[in-house]
Amino acid sequence: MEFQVPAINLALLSPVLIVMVTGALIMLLEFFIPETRKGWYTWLSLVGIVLAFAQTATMWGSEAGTFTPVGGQPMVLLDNYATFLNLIFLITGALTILLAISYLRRTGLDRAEFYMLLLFSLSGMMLMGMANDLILVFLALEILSIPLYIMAGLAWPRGESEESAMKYFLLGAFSSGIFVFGIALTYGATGSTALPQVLTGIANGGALGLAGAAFLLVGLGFKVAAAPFHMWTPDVYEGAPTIVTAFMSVGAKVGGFAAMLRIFLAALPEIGDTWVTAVAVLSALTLIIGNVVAITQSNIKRMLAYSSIAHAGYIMIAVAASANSERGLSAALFYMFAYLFTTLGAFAIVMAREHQLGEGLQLNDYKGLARRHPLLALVMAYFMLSLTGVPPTGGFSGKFYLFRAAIEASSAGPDLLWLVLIGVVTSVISGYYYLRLVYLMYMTDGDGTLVEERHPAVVTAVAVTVAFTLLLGFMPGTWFDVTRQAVLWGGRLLAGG
Amino acid sequence: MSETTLFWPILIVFIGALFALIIGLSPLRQRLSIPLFATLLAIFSFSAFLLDISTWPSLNDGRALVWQINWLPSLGLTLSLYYDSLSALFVFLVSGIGTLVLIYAGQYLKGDENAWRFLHYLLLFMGSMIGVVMAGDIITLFIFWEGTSITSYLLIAYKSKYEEAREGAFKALFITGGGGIAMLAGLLIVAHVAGGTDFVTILQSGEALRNSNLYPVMLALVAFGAFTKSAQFPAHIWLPDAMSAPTPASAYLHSATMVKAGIYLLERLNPAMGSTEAWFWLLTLVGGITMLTGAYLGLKQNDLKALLAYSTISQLGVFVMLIGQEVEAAFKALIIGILAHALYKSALFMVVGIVDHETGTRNVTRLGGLRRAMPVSFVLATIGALSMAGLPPLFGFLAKETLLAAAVHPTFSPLESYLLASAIVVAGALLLAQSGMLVYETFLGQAKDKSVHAHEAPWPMLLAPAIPALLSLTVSLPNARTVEPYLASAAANAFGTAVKVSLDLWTGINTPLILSVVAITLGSLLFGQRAQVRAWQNRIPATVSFNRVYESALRLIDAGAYWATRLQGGRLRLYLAIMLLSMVGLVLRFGATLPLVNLLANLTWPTPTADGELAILRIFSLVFIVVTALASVLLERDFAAILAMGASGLGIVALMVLEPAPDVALVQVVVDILAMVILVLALARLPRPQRRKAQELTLKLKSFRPGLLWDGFVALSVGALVTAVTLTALVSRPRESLVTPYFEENAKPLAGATDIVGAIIVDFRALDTLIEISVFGMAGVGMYMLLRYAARKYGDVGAQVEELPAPIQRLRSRGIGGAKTSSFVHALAYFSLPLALVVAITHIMYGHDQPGDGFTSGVIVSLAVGFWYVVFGYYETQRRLPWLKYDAQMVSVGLLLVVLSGLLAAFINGTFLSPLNFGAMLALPLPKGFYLSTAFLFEVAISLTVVGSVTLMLNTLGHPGQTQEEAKARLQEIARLEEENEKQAKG
Repeated sequence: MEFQVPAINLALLSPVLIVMVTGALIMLLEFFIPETRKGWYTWLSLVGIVLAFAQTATMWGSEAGTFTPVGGQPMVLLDNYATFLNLIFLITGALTILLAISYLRRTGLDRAEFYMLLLFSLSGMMLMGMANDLILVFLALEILSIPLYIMAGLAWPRGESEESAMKYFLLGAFSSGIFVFGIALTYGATGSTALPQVLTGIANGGALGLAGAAFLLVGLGFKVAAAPFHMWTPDVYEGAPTIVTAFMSVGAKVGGFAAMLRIFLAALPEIGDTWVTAVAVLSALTLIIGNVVAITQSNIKRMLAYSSIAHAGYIMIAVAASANSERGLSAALFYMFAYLFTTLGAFAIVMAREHQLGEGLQLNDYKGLARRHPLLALVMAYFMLSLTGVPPTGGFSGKFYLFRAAIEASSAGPDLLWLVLIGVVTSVISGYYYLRLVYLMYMTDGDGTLVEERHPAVVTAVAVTVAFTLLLGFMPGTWFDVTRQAVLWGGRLLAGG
Repeated sequence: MSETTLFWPILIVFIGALFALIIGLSPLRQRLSIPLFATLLAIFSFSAFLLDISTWPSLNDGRALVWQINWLPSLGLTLSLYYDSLSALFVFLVSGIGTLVLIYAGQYLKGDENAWRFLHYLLLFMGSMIGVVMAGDIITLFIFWEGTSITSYLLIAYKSKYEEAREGAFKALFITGGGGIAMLAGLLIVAHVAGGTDFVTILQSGEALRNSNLYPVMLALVAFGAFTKSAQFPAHIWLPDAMSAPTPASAYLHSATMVKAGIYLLERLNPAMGSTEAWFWLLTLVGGITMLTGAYLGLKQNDLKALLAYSTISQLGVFVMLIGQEVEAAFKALIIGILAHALYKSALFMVVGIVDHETGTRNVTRLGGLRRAMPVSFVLATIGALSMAGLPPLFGFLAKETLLAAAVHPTFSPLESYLLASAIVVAGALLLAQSGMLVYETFLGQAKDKSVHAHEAPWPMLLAPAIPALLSLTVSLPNARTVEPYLASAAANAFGTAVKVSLDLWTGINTPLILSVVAITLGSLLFGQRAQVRAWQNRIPATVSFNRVYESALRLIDAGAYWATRLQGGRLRLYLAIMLLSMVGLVLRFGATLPLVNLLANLTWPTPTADGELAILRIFSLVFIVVTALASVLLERDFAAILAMGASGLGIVALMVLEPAPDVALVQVVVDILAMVILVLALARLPRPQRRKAQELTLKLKSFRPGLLWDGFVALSVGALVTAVTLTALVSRPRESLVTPYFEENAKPLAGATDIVGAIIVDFRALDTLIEISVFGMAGVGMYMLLRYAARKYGDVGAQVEELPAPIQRLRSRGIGGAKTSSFVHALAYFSLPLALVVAITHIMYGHDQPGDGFTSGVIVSLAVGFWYVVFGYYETQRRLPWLKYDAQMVSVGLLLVVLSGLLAAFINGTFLSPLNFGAMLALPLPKGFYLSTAFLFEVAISLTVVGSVTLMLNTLGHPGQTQEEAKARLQEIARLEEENEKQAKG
């Protein structure tokens, strides 16, 4: 009997599969390797990520879709867009693992399951960028989220950690429900869940299609922590173990944007203007709320939580711009690339400063850090400057690029100049809380102990984040070119034929 | 300097700052006395000064030097400097007075351990300030502008242990920093309209700017930034409070430099944005009010520094007013005024600082008669005060003469001239009275407070104020006129076209001179009657104080933060309400409400018919679903509520069966039951008191309270939205699905399956299935991790179950929660598991053609196992079904099996997860309808994963030994680890 079901190109899927299989292997091996032997899972997961990274890197430039039913649309796409995002996710995963080794050991959380969950979540993130079908997006969203819910609660039975996991899970489940409702409506309006078919159908879908798109936006808005769907973020970030917070603040956010951009550009251009305005409004709210409320925070994890909300706002400027400017998409990618290094770097320092669970996390604990640990303070100050967007840092290049994209988009579509203005002004406001930390480190005296964090893995990770933040600050050109090549494939193209 | 070396003045000063930092942080600081250190640093600022005056003459033809580098070429970003006579004048003041202030500060701060820090900040400020006046584009301008705000914060808050210093510093930062943001917004609009961020472009686009629709917006924003920085009414309130700064900082920032930044900005933009009605009225009114307010309030003060601060405000008002005018004379007055004011005000501040330093007070009610003890200071103060009062032959006189000449310029209407001139005369009189007071109350008369002892300051400290004070006099020297072209050129840069500047003190008897005489007479009268005037001033309560506005703004921010924190208080219900309401708003706003409403309005309601044999059944199940769902909310007992919810799910099953969709119904029924079993097990884990408490709480929530209205509102709006949208979805059907016909047509030919759902799961959407089962596996792992991991690790009984002696196990052979179970139930359980296994295997084997698949088979087995847990209890189940402990391994093996079978297919068929029929390939004799294929392996894998995951959950939830002990053990472990860490840190 000869069957002809959708062909799945193994090569395209191999990075995701490698990550997933590594996760499953850890689950399996954990039973056979005595608990007293630690560390093997760290190396195994690193090997898995490196393999996946190598495989992904070779795919740069190739564009293909797979998992295509006969006469249908591929459900999985691998274009430069997806490849670039996969690289972002894999780097995030690798850096998180490097930072996790000593942190988990220190806090008594060193378990194989952590790595397993991380790998599964990572596979979900990668699929977010590759999915060309709403159902697959939803599944990717779930496999991304569920391990994160668990990881947030990893520091059980510490109250905050438990609470963090619970809140994240409950609200996350709600937002998943909303997302599914959005898929159902979109399907109702267009008769399909494949993005290219949604594209052709949505214009005739009328109110239903618009409502569906709005529900999709809410569901994704939750994932990327855009106001007013951000309420969970500070509590969850504060309660979760810091290493999980770091992973979450980069991975989950970029994952959400990966799907948002793909859906936006591949399926919704027909209702583009409505979407642009909706995204722009959310972006403005996010920028204002994130940056203003961050000023009053006294806990560094909470401050970084609001900061990450604010950065979602900046990325959303690029999302809004991507509809009418070719630079929009690449600006979003570049921004996320820069954000990854700066944020993980900042969290690395936070972890080094956090000497006991939940202690050493107040802003005041950073007083006088410059005198006692000049290098640490210098690195932290640099990350703060990058988050503010002061040149020459990766954060500055990112902001500059996306503001320019938004200005460019304004001439072709809905006006975004007001949004750029809000973006610029809130960046300046953000200086007040980021630079306050610098001020505390350099200009005030304080005492306090510091965990002697000399683990080579941590040093490597911090070095990488610093190096890339510098590189993106001083020589952003090459990376602009890379992100400019990381365009979507398939969306409009397949709609025509 | 040439165009390519323009950056040197800024660079030199910043190098000086770096030098200060390095010395300050190194042991070298101990060897260097503060005065010497400060003098060394003064060399840096003096070099900048020399560079400036060496270049200034070459700019007299009104040209500008422009320097720019492609800073970040890939961003298209340039960094540029713009240097003309106007900039040169300001650099002259900033670096020149800066040099003197540095020397002065060295004396002033002698003996202060941390003085290096102050000097470091001072140089940073100086660099930023030179940057502001030399910036060639708006980004550079903004960076340096905020740089001055921040460094001035550091300088004002230098004596940070005093609360007033901190608050004054914060106030300055808040107002000027906030103004800076407004300015940036305004300048960005300017740049957008002009088509470039650099001043060259902006200055050439005056026409476009003035005619732009956005002109009022950009003017308001830019002017707001300039007004806050230059302490214009009503933003002037920060300046008096900033007097808590050490005097060198006041002398520097608040006379000649920072407060002039706003003036500079307005001057710089005047050629492009000025000469409009709006510009004239805005600047004239704000400047005029500021001039009068400052002059009036200055006379009230007892603190010498406050007095100087208010007179500065008044003077700044004059400058703003002048920039608003459209006549050449105004700009002549402006440039002379700026120079004169910088000279006498810095001298006066420094003298006041000396008085304060030597006597310990600067309160006029305590000072007096210091002329004998401090003769040099007395002379310097007198010169400065005379200049401030506008008396000949000092620079101040000239400034006032030109000012009055501008006010009575023939281009003004008589009314305007009259108003302007009288305002200037009144302000001048008030300033004269203050100047008199400053000298008389401090140095003349008798000492009012005998406890105040004074002696003259050392000569280097006196040198600093002496130089500007004497320069105030030099205007009367004949060769002073050589600087006229420089000033004329600066004025021309600000005015836009050439301005004639002459420094003639005597211009004949004319209107300005007469007015000047009037002002002097009036001022002398005021001075004579100052006691009465001041008493009268103090009787008038300050009804409108903008400090109150400032404070209420701060309170508003605090309140905002408070509310944001309250909202973010961790209450999930509130979070959800906000999320949902925002969702409603978003969908209504962007989800095309209008078509939605139209659609609903024009809806032809279908008349319900009871036709068809199954209609009654459908209606029944619908009603059943609604009633049971309501019951699950309203029932008070948790157990009953769960049952109701389960029943509601079964109602949905009935609907699906009627559809008919047997596959979906089958999955729904098993999942529904499984969910109920898990919920019941979870409930059983909770201690009874806790459950009772939760029940009481629910009861209490049900009684009426205002919050209920809110919750009801949220629920109703979300419900209404979803109903409306769903209704729309229903009536706008049928829109034929693109998917279903495809599967119907292709399931058999492509996948060899007569059951579409089966084909979808393992063939058409195999990848989805792989992810789905991963998700399912993660859920089990999650439950295990969160509830159980610690148990196994930290001495829980369950982990030792095999080591328990047999009799004890028998004893514990009871149902869940220790309940007795009858032997009938036992028998049922014995029977159910094998049956479930048989059903499961059939499902797996024939899933491709019949309803049922790996998932249902897995759930069915799991259900039977769950039943065992309920009947036999945890220990007995574990003993009888030892394979249950391989829970996580089943999940992982299942996942790996999918990938393996997929890989197998990939190697043989070339595509991953494609169907491959080994049975047919190997010609195995197999029963009809069963194919040994990858599809089969896939089903097995799914089943295995599901069983594994559910077992994980059951093992976790069914476990009896989960109490607070684990938590305690875990916390002890954490404590132990922390101890270890501490030991390591010590060792």
